[in-house]
Amino acid sequence: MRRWILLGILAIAAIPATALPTYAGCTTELADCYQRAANIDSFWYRWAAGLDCELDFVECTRVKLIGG
Amino acid sequence: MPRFLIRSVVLSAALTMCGCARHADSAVSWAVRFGPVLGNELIVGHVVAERTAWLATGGNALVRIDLDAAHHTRVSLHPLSQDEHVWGLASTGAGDMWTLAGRGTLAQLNEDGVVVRRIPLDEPHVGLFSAGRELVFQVMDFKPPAFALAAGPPGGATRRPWSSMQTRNLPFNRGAVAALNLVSCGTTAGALTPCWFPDQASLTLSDRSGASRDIALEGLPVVAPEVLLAADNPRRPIRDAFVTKSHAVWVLGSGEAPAGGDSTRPGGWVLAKYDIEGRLFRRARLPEPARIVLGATDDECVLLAWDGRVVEVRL
Repeated sequence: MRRWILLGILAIAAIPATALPTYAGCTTELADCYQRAANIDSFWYRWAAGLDCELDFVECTRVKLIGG
Repeated sequence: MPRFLIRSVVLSAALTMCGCARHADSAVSWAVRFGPVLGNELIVGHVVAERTAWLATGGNALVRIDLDAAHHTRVSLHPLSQDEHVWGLASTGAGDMWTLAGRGTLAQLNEDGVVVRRIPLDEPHVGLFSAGRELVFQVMDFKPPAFALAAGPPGGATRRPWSSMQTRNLPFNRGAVAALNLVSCGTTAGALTPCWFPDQASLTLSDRSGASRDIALEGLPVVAPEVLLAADNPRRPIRDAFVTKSHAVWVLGSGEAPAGGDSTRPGGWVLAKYDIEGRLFRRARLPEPARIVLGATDDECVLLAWDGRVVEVRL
């Protein structure tokens, strides 16, 4: 049993840190980011945070759309 | 009978000369040269200088591949902060390389991977390429249509529109439109740099001054933009392109894995060669997928295979 847990941990650790994120992952991250931005009181800070969310989304999808 | 034979020979020769007989998928020779030179890592930029290729990876590494010596070296890019990741790779001359550190810093690199200069950028940048001794930038722009690319010296305040590529107003949300307007540029052995949008089967070929022309490419499967955005492993019409000194255009596309082929392997299955007008000369399905083009002549194309090996391909 302990051996299987160890093998599982090793398998997860072997996934490269730069593995391609999925679009669903990008969309989920965008929704979460918008949620956080919506909780900001100041209009301008909220607007800037929303823009940051979209930039993060573009960077996330860039990996699969043009990454090598 | 002899007349029939002569007619067949003449027709065959005519078809061969005009290239009409070469449109169908042709046989491909696939010769592994060396490697692997890279693991299962994201490639965020590449530069080709003569017979040497440089790759930047999502894990902040710089890989130098010497195609003649069948040798590669790898260095870590440093110093970079813990949450800083590079994107893009451009060269403005021997040993002068540049990348984007995050989206707000232009970083100059030496061949040992040392960040020797950092230039803060006023706007978020999403792409970096080179044209001769100038850099070509893509700034994040949520308001299409606009020139997609601008060129200027590193650190220079003045930039000018470069190439005729314009961002497109598409019927999707702002983030998706911005993503579909991201530009990729391939490499060149001459003066014409090929660039493209992720959903299109056409190239814009630009010279160093930015003068450009569009060529549509036949024989590359295209998928709808929404499908491209939604797929985990999207079938991109063009994954990479290379223009030779004498203007042969090699294009690597996602294509489709053959029956029984492993479609989860990264890379594209279709390699095609065009002339400068976009006329298809030859096209082949590769026996294994390839990730980028490392170099090419009119007869031969050197590819980075899905597993990091360097492969010579002839169509």
